[in-house]
Amino acid sequence: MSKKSVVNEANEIQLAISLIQLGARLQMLEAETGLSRERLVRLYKEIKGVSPPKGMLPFSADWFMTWLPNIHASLFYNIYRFMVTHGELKGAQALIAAYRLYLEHVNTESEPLLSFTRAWMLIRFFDGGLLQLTECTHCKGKFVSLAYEPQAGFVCSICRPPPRACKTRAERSFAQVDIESIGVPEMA
Amino acid sequence: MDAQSNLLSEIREVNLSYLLLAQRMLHEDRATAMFRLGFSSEVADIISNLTLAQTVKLASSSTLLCRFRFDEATLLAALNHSALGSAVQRAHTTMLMANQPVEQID
Repeated sequence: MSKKSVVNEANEIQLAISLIQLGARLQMLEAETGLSRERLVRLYKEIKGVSPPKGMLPFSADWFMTWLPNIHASLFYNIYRFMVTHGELKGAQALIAAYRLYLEHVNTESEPLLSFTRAWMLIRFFDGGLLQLTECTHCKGKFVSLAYEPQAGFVCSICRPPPRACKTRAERSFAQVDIESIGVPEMA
Repeated sequence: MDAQSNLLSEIREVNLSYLLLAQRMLHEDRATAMFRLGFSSEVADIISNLTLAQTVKLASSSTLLCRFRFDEATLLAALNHSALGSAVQRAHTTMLMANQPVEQID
């Protein structure tokens, strides 16, 4: 057992606070910080004012495959990759920096489609080899896809959106409502 | 003031505000600033360690210091008015930007 360092503990609490503010679940806090469960629960209650939600984490890798979640996940993961390769950040710090940049792209009034916990799961799926990045042959962008999927001739869901895209209310709120709010004329 | 010197002073102004903005961003949050500016860590170090005198000297060049960061694919994504709306388009541009090579010193 290593000796407990007060400075380390302070840093971990600081990290846990940032994670909770962004919407981390308890399981994630336990994995990313070395603090005990009881302290994390107390911290969570103090910051959010409610008990941490119980139940399993969103565990499906297939969630990232439907078109709108795929765009969000790809956006987040590309930013995260930059943070790791160029930004000299590691682990939770890279996650926090990338997630804050991702939030700039979503409507501030509604809940972000890619929740913080899902973003964390996304990275774990990549680390575990369940997901890979596939390059779109049109725009050369790299998109999240299931591992071992054929890479040749892939066209992303932005270059070739599915015919039913933007038909549900949730999708419209991400894709179109903010056109009105900025006042850009919609293309015919 | 004739047009030529007017132009040069405008270039210097842009250079100086670019450098000062880059420095401020790098001091506030280095990794995020590197993402926004497209800098490698060497360039980020150099820019954030410039003294004020050096910054002014560097800015008083007759050429622009910042580079156009769009390559063909990114530019097309930014200009392409897709049916999906501007938020998707912005997300697409950011995604492609993140994949581009950063500015670095060989």
